[in-house]
Amino acid sequence: MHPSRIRGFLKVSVGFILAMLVSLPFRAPAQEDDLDQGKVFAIQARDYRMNHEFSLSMAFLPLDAFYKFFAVSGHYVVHFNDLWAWEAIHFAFSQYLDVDTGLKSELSDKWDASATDTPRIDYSFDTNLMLKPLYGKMTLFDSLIVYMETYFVLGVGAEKFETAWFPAGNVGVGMRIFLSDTLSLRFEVREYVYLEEGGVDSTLYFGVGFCYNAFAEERKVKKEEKGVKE
Amino acid sequence: MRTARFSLVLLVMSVLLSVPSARAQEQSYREKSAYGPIQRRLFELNHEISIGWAYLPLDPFAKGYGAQLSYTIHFNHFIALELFRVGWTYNRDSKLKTKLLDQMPDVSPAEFPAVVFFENTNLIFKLLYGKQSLFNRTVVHFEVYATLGGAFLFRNPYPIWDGDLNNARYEFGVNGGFGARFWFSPRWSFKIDLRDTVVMLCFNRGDFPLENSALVGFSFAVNI
Repeated sequence: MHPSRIRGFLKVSVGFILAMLVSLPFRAPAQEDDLDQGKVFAIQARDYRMNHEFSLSMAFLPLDAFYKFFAVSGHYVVHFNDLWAWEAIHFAFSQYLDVDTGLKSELSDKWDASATDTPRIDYSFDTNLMLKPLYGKMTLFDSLIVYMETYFVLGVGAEKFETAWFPAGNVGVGMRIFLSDTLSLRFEVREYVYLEEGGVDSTLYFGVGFCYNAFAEERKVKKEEKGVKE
Repeated sequence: MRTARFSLVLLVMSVLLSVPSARAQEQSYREKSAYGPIQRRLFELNHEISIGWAYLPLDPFAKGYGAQLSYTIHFNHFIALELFRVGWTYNRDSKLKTKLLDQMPDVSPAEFPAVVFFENTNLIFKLLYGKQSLFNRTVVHFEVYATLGGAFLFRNPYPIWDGDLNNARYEFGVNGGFGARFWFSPRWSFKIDLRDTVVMLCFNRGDFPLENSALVGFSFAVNI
């Protein structure tokens, strides 16, 4: 091979290697971007939408030292859109549904102390604004897809104890599992803060609700709207 | 000529062998349910360390506020072993305890042991994995899991720095609960836990108290 051709080949090779070396640091992040699926995603149209919701729930109020309360509750929610709803009424009835923790007898047995009668919750009602920022799906054991949404509630109401009514505010978070267009399950936790005589106290509320979505067909997304051809 | 024939045989064999594996792979990602295809998980865990905050609300005489640290080995998508979750809590007297101490001279603070240290070892069953759209703008990946295992509790009426261990209780119990994890990135996630320990045995007193000690935890986890 002619020496000038060898020199030319070497020049081209060195140039190519340099170009490779220079381009490496810039190429690596680009490749990472390609792999970072978290930044590249598609958000599908919702399969389930709520309209007028009626529910029957079971609740558990665990934080009272003397009694653990169970409650039966119901609510009506009007859903304005995918993001906002108004829980017009939420009513929880816990009268006669309490279980003695045994603390009273412990106080009596250990120290011969009789606790002053702690008032029990009879029922409560409240009205809440509901924000539904999260909607998605999850897999159960990688084999079944479950659609769900997460919501937050904030509202005001009142709690009726044996002795008196107390105004209360509440905040909560919950998760809805869609069973069908019209049926869903709600799991939620709420904290009620009420103003009692001489202070502020609170009630923690765990609830499981069975919900019916009335007039669901009015909100149902048609396949054509989702871009699916029949 | 012989080399060319040998190469051709190799090529045909490799094609034939590759077909079943490709089919198997296709099978594994195929639609497994009537509801639609199930995607591969974007975030998977291996060895996880978490650190966070703990709240123990159930003791009628003291509310515990503390910190917890855990190490978890994830075997696969469904099962993990929380090798240890240790925590320390600072206990604040409840109104009831204050009233008892104020109004009854016979009552001693030594009679109210509260959880100071705890250790849990749990199997974790990762039931659900999913993703949610936040305000229809971004995607949040999460999982929901259940836990079951054993727990050791050290209960003492006084803070550990007081050095008074005369009324301490060393207890064993069964621990169970639920939790949810939300991923920020493949390495970092945030966990919410709700656990309950049923105390079954006190080693140094020889009694069987059957008491509940519930814990609410919030922690940050890193996948190492």
